This record gives sequence, C-alpha cells and structure tokens, in this order.
Amino acid sequence: MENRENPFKVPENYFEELENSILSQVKKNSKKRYFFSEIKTVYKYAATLLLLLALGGIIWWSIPTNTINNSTPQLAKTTISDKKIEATQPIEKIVKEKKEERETIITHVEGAKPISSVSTIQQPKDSTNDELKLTEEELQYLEYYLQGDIINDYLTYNSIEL
Amino acid sequence: MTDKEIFDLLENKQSRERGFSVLVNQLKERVYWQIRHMVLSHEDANDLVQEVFIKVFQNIDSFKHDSSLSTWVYRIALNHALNFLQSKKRRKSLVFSSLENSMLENLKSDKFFETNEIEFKLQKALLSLPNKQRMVFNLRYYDEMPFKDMAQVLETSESSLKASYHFASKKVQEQLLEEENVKLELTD
Repeated sequence: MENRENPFKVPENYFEELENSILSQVKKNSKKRYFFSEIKTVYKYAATLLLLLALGGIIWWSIPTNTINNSTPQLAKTTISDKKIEATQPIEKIVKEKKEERETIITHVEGAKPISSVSTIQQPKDSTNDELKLTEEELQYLEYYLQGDIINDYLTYNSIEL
Repeated sequence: MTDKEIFDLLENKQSRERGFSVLVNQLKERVYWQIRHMVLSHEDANDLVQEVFIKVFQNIDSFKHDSSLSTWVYRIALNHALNFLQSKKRRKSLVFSSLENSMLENLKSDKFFETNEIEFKLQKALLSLPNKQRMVFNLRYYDEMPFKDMAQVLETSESSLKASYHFASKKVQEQLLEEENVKLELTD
C-alpha cells in the first residue's frame, strides 16, 4: 500500500484484528442506536405536545376579556346609568339631570335637596326594557338604602366630590 | 469482488453483514493510513477508523451511487478526520495551547513513529499547512492517489488540487530548507 517510506508503524497483527473489532463495534452500536432512537422518538412527541400545550395556554391567557367591575355597589335592584358623572358636579345637579329622564323622583339623598319621586329609572343602554316602574315596596327599599352611606360610598369609590 | 457485487450484498439485509465484512477487508488499510497521516497518533487513528466504518454501515442506504463505494468511504473517512482535528483544535484553544505543538510533542514520544529526524522535520513542516492542504499533500505524497481520483474523493476540481499540492510542497520545501538546508525531492 505505501510506496514511500512510511515513518508510521502499527502494532503487530493490527490489521488482522481490525476487521473483527470493527464488526463487533458495528453490532454493539446498532443495538444501542435502536434503543436510543426509540427513546428519542418518545421525547420528540412529548416535547411537541408540551410545546402545543404551552402555545395554547399563552393564546388562552392573552385573549382579552371584558372586565366588568363587580365591586360597583348596586343600589337596590336598580342599575346605575352608564353616563359619566363629573367629579365636580354636585349631586343635586346629577339628580336634576336624571329627573328630566324620569317621570317622578322619589329618592331622598342625605344632605341634598329633596327631589320628586321617580316612577321610572333610566335603563342601561343594553337594557331591553325602556322603562322600569318601581312598586311602593321597591321605592321604600331604595329610600332605605339612600338614607345610608351607599351614595357616599359610591361617590367616594368613583372619586366624585360633592 | 467488484463494487456492484459488494453493494448487492449490502442492499440485502440478510447478506448485509457479509457484504460489510468484504468492504471492511478491502478498504480498512487504506482508510487507516489516510486517517493516520492526518492525526499522526495510532490510538486516535484506531478510534476514528472504527467510527468511520460504523458510519458507513449506518448510512449504507443513503449511498447515492454518484461515485464508487471506495470513493464514498474515503470521503467519509477524510471528513471525519478533519472534524476530529477541528474539535481537538477548539478544545486546545481553550487552554491556550496549539494543537500542532501538542501533536509534535506526542509524536516525539510515540512508539509507533520512527524517530527519524528528517521525518520528524517533515511532519513539523506539514503541520504548519492548513488541514485541507495537508490532506491533499498526504494523499498525493504517501498514497500516490491520482488527482482525478482525489477530485472525486474531495469533491474539488483537479486543477485546484494540483495548485494546492504545488503550494503545499513549495511551502514544505522552504520550511525544511530554512531549518537544515536539506533538499527534499517532491515529485509532482
């Protein structure tokens, strides 16, 4: 094989034994390879599944949801108008504005001028009913709440000053 | 046995081992020396030659018949040797030492290397070449591989291989002359 003088040497009978050692290594390696290739496949599927779950989770949590403020205090069984209330507006003015929308006002606010009663209260925009007629019982219930600090709490919560 | 006969044995799963045995028997020495001339150490060459044949066995189905079986095997062997040297060089660079110096040091004390001063200087000069150029030189100088066959193995044009060999031998000659004023006749 070597035509020029070769300074490199090999151990005795090296090439005779080389073939056997190569064949035994190949056999050993093909068994190891099969085992590891199976495990590799399992890991591959597991990793793909985890990735899909993670992506799904990220998409799920990033979907914007309507944040309805549940802590808004509710006045009896009425719904408060969505109309924005100016912080500096006195409550009498607010009530007067509402009076125009109502048939009669019966609410008494502590510290405020008495106003005439309402038989209807403005519905929120998405309400299906145009008018809500309160019964005597409901009005009394409403009055009871209004005598308490519920209005003050509401105003404080919404940063409205009298 | 011809390439076609060996490949027919390899294709059939029942006769694959027999075909592989024939292939190893035919090519083992040549593959070993090609690797040995690159890595210098017998231990490294022994490990690499076994890895090469394992690779050949595992990838026999991907042989595209665009060259002879032997060319394909030599290509795998030489690329494997180059990759080995590259990774060894990277590891050595982390400890601030040169791979070439460490290979020369190992060669001095290697019992499987004839401690001939001229040969040692030749190896020293060859180690100063880039790996691919050194490979071309080794294949031409030690294996006397025709440039046409070399072009198939290394997938490079004959002309660039001839140029590479010419520059390599010139550089080696200059190095040797520089050291001892010894003239080495290199045939083209």
